[in-house]
Amino acid sequence: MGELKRHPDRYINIVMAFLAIVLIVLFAALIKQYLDLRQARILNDQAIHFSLAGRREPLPNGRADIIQAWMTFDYVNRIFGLPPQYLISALNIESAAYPRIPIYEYAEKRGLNPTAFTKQVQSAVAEHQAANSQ
Amino acid sequence: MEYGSILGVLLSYLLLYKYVALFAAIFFAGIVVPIPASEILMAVGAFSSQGVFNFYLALAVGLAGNVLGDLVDFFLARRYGAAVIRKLRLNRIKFFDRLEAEVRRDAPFMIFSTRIAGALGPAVSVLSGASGVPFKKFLFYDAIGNFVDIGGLLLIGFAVGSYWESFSDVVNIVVAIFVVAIIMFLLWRISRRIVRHSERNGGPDDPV
Repeated sequence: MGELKRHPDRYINIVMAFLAIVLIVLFAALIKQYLDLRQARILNDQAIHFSLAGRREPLPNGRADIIQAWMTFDYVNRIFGLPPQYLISALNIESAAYPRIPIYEYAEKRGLNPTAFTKQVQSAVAEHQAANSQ
Repeated sequence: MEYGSILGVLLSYLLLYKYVALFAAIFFAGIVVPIPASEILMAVGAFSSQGVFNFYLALAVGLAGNVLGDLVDFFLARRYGAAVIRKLRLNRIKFFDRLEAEVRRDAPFMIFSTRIAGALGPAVSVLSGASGVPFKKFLFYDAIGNFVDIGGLLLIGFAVGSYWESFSDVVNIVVAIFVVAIIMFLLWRISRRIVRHSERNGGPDDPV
């Protein structure tokens, strides 16, 4: 220990060796993430190309599962190209704050389970997409 | 993402209050509040690709928020840093003197690179303020580093659009690699100086 105190550069070498191991672990985690994204078919030209080329276009069928409780109804209407009145009638929404209210906040105010209500929103959007794609 | 998570609540506020919420989130993240700024910026990039945000306005607001947050750290450390150092008796530790000298010497690289490595940013802002890095130098490298960081994250979010959440883990790992690489680089430089100093003085150096 006294030897290390007299040679502080050796402290640094020990820390550097530890950091090198951390770096290797991080690179391994990065490769795993890359493989996971490829496996989930997210990391392909089509996904990136779609977002760059098709911005401001409604999301295609089969993407309703991206709807989450933090999203506002306004946002959901916009990204899926829904008429503002559609979710009101499909989910019997009664709120003066609609559409500028997050899904979870609306569910909590109505005494509903936010997770279950989000699933209902996903189903309603998927139904609208299916009906309009025919 | 759980609906009650901090990120979830922040994203809701972003959709409701747009640029005001973006400025507030990035400003407080810049100071030191643990807010997931990378995820927020990627989400805003995605929202820009969907027409909810204007990309360039989001870049300007995010940049202003982050630079102002960093300046709060910088000026607080400049105003109260010396008193805190005296109170904690850090001025008696030789290593601390050397650390201040290292920060002043490596200021451009440290300030620029730690804006991209988010977790180290507030610490280096405080060190820069406490060690007397000139304000204009700090502001210049801080603004450039934040421009690269915020612009990069917004662009990634814009490119991947609604898939941004899937890419946030990748970005976090890349940032972590960057943080470790920066620390290793700085340690290597310090180590080299210590060895040179020892060789010049003909003996081992005393760290404290």
